[in-house]
Amino acid sequence: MKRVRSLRCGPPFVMPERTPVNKIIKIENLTKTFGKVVGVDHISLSVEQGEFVTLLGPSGCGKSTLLRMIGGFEEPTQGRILLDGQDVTHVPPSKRAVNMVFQDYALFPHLSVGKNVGYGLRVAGMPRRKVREKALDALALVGLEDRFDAAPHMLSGGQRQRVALARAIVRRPKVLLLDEPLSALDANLREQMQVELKALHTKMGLTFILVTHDQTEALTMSDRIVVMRGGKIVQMGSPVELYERPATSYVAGFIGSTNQFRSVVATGPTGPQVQCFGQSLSAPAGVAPGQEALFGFRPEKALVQFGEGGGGPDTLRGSVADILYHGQSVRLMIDLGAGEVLVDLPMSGSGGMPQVGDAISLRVGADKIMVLADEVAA
Amino acid sequence: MNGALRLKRALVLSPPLLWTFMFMFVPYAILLVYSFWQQKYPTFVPAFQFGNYVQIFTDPQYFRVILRTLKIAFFVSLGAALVAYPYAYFLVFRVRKPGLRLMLYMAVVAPLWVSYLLRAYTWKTILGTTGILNSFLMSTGILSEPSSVFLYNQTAMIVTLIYVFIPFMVMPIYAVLEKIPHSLKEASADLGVGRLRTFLNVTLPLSIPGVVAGFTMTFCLTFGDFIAPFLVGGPDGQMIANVIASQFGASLNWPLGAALALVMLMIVLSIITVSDKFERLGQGRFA
Repeated sequence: MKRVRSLRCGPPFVMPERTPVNKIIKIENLTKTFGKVVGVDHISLSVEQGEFVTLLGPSGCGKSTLLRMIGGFEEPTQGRILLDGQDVTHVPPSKRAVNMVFQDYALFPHLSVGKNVGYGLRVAGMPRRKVREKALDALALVGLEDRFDAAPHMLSGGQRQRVALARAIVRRPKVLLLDEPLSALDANLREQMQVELKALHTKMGLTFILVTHDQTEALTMSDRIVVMRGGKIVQMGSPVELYERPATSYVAGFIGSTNQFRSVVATGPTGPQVQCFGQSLSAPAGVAPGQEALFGFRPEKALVQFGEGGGGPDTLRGSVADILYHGQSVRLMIDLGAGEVLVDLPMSGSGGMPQVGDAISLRVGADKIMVLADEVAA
Repeated sequence: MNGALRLKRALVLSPPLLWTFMFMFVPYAILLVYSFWQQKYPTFVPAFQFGNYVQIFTDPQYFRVILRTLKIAFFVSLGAALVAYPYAYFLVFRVRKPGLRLMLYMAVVAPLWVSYLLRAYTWKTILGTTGILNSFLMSTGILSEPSSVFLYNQTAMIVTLIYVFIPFMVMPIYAVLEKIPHSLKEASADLGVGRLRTFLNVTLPLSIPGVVAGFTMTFCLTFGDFIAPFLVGGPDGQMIANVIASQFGASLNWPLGAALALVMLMIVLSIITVSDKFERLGQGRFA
């Protein structure tokens, strides 16, 4: 795992030397029920020091509840949370060395930006000058040291987000929790903040746990993504692993788009074959003839050729049914007769724009086909 | 703006405007005119002179009544705030069931539907010599015979008025506490601050506008009250409204009564102006 410690951090932000404890967070069998509703269902998860972990899933999948239990805002029904080797399951949030960036930022409206950032330190009795110094340092990390005296309601959404971030890191928590921190920002700003968050993570060497329902956000920033559904972990791994080898049809559909089809593996003239909407493709490795499974391929993995002529083995033939222009690429809906698939055509210059009704062939190699496990009933 | 729209707007606006004009401006104008008139035994005659105002500010008896009224209004507001704040806090942050919360809220607000006179009168039966308080103290043996110290004094008035006006304190405090985002308290805890300090540093400062609003209402309502002094007040319990009432009644000195009423109106308006300024300071916070 990546563990970057920047030399550029000034004296106030030197990482405390510690005996190497690999797992900064260890969650064991954690469960949270609200009445009869199970929010988090027997989850076990470890997070390494300095790791950027994203909990990804649709609303109601339990990701926020899990994060809030780590923060101490929800009492687990069952299970344990270890922070840096210590059991903090029943420790109140005010006594945990983790800090949270709230979805609505939760800035104190009656305090200035600087007072917001220094709030915890000031109440804890740190001398005024030292509080100011630390708050300024934290604000400098997010580029807002010149708004020290501004009132929160005078700031833009992006700036408030940064203040919330500065406030959460000013005490150098062992883990920084981020609860959908970018969801209130518009698209451009969100992309920019993704880059900045990632840079801040690298610069500070802190452990980040982020909750989001936005797969792009998860793919861009995380070292590791934990996909959740119905209070359970469906799959976890690096962004590349999850994108290239999604375990289930749910993950394949949630992260990126996938053309999915069910087929029985048959023995063909050149080896095992699968049927994609009535047309034959070479079967990927790992399945044996006679086996029935769910298969899928990503829209951008198919090699698009115009005309009927293109071909050879492992080719699907159809016609363009719909065209969605994305700028850098065009997404085509291809009618295969017995079904439809999506493919992406990069707009790299030479090729003209296809028309609805054009004949088209798609080459999908066996290495591009993913085998998806059947969904565990969630 | 075309004619039809203008007519429509005029039709919509005219009833309230007419109402305000007839029942606000006209009476005040009459009061103002009266306040310059002169008393001439046995009644009064039209004049234009400031004698009534001079009398109010030079005759110590009127000044004393105004001061006493201000004092009582202050203690009633303070007492109401001290009782209402914990209650509203309890309702908003401790009562989890919405139904129970509504019920407890209505328990405070519902008495507003009962006649004011009746509510004030209740305290007469509680505090009187044959009242509940006396019989309780006697049954527990603290008193051997009924005491009359509870009724007919300023304390009895303050207690009665606190009870009568407390809904006006609970409502704004409840509203402002309910509006404080829960995440602010969580953020405070997250930053290492315990419950008491979170209250002192976050909840209390953010709820001050509600306390100010409640204080203003209770203060102004008490300031103009004349029933409590009448029912449970003693000889030293006269308030400004009682004096005004008597000028229009037994004393038959309408000019002085009008002048007193206008002075009282000015005091109330300045209190409202100051508190309004204060509330505006807090605006935009939850934006």
